[in-house]
Amino acid sequence: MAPSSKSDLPQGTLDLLILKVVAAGPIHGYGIAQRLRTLSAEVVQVQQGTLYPALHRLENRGWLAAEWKPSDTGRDAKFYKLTRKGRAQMAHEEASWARLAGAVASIIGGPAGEAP
Amino acid sequence: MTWWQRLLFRRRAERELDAELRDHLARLTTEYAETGEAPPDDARRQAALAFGGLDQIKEMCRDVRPARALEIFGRDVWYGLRVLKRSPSFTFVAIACLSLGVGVNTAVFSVSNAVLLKPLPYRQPEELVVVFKTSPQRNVNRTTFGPAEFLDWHGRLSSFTGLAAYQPWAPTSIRPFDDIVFDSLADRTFPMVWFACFAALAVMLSALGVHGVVSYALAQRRREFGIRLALGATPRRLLAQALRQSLLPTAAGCALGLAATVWLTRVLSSLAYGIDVRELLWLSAAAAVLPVIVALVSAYPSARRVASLNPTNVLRLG
Repeated sequence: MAPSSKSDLPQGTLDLLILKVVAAGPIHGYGIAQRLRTLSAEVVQVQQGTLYPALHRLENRGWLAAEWKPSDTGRDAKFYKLTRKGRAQMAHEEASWARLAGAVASIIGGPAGEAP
Repeated sequence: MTWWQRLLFRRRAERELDAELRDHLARLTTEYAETGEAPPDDARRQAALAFGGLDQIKEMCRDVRPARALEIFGRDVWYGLRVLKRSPSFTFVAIACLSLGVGVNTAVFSVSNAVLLKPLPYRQPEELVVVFKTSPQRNVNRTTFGPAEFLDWHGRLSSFTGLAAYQPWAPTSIRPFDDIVFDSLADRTFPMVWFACFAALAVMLSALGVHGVVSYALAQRRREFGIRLALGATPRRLLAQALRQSLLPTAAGCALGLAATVWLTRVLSSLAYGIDVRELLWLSAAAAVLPVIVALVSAYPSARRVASLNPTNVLRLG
């Protein structure tokens, strides 16, 4: 994969992406990394050195709850799920992301000469 | 696990962190082997390469723990205790220096405070007076009078709420009782002032001792700090650690000093009365704050110096 095909995540968006993936149901770290990769069609690739500190930070803030459960490999794995606080935070971040994305899109794609 | 559980059961937190990351690595290996992204015999190595450094990731995860600062603080204190144990003579000098300084000073100050500065232990000490019998024509100025005179004055009392007489001591001039007490203490006041001066000197000397001992101890550990820097410790981290560890003997010295104060005050209070134990505690706390400030101020330049060392120079020259 050419490096140019990957994008750096804007500051703070990783939290939202993680919350969004976890919202679909309890999932372990590897699963989160994989879903991020496939859902974004390989555009978003999160390094483990970024993913795990972020997961632990979200857990510490009480947005994610973790539980060790038996998994498909036969070993116990740490499954993350969204807490009520996490769901509220996700809605909040989604709204602010939509606002920002809309603003950026209108600046980039807005018809020329429409500026006041 | 909540943050405090993570702090209390650190071993378990570490085990879970390790298990979580290894689980990820194992899944990645399986993925590589199954998708054929790497040759089967090389899948493990490729996965490990893609995964990144296990220990670095662990360290980053530890850094987001909320009680991380507390964790590091505890580790510094523990390490500091081990350093102190390794150099008992240094530890002894530092602690003895401070406990003497704090102990003597607080005790002397609390006694001189009770004797010199505080009002008499009565409800309105400024209203207490001594009644004099004076007659300038006959050059009489005394506080003695006979029982009949006392009873006479006592029966016609209008200016005072009460009048009492004591042996061996009548009335037209008035001096505040406080002044008289002060006069009668003059012979004891003078030595007390000297005493207080020496106590202040003692504190300054102990502060100087703390300074010397702290900077010497840090200079002795240059090599250790150099190695830490070479291994990737940040100067900020080393600075915080050096400061905390310099405070350790100071804190021990102050604690011992406070214990000594209680004992010394009991001895010295035979010289005076009216020493208040609650007040003594406040004084002790104040006396203990000074050495701590001194230790911090004197450790700071030395700690900065070691934190900004060039590891190469230290390791080469020793």
